[in-house]
Amino acid sequence: MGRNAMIYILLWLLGAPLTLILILFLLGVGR
Amino acid sequence: MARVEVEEVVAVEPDDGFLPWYVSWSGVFVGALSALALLLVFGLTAIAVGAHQVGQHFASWHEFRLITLAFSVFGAFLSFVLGGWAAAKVTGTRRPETAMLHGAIAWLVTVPGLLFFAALGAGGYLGAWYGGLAAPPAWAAQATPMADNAAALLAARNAALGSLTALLLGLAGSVVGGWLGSGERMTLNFSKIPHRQHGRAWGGMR
Repeated sequence: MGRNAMIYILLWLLGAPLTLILILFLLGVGR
Repeated sequence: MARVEVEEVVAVEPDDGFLPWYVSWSGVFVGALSALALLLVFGLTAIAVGAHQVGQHFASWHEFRLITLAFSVFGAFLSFVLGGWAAAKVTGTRRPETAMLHGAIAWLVTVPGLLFFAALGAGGYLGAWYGGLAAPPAWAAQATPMADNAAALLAARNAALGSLTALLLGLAGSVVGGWLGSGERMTLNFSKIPHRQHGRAWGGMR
């Protein structure tokens, strides 16, 4: 773990899930 | 009587060896259980006011009404915010990093629980999206072959997307909840307390 644990936590546990949801819905995966 | 106190201080360099990271399982389980409980409250309320219907499969997102969406999104997010908050509070940490990770671990604990309850058939009570976590049990004979039906395939895809959305919203919610529960101001470049305790498993703090 580097110096900024906070950045990694925010990036992977907050940003990544929300981005994945957004991408899936924007791509129109559900019909 | 003479009393001798011997105090031993062992200094370990962070790079020298393993320093375990303390996980408060009490906090984690309280957080997980409160998230599940609030999820159930949201789900049952939604069923009671008619926003959700038990066992409903969505062949199209057009059938997914706005109030159903609102209950699904807010239910999934807010219950895990409570879960993460409770996990952080019971853990008692004031470091946001530790608190957020405890929130995330509380979410991790709920995932097998959600799968289990969905498999038992209670997934529909937790919200419209969690029903998609249920697979047809292997021991039960399949009454009708589902795979030929295009609508059933589409419904399965929508159910998977819904469950994924609910789970990921829960993860984000638990992290936000843990951050809230740490009591730190929620900005990126601010630390209210000096970090005196250097359990360095997560590296030097900011």
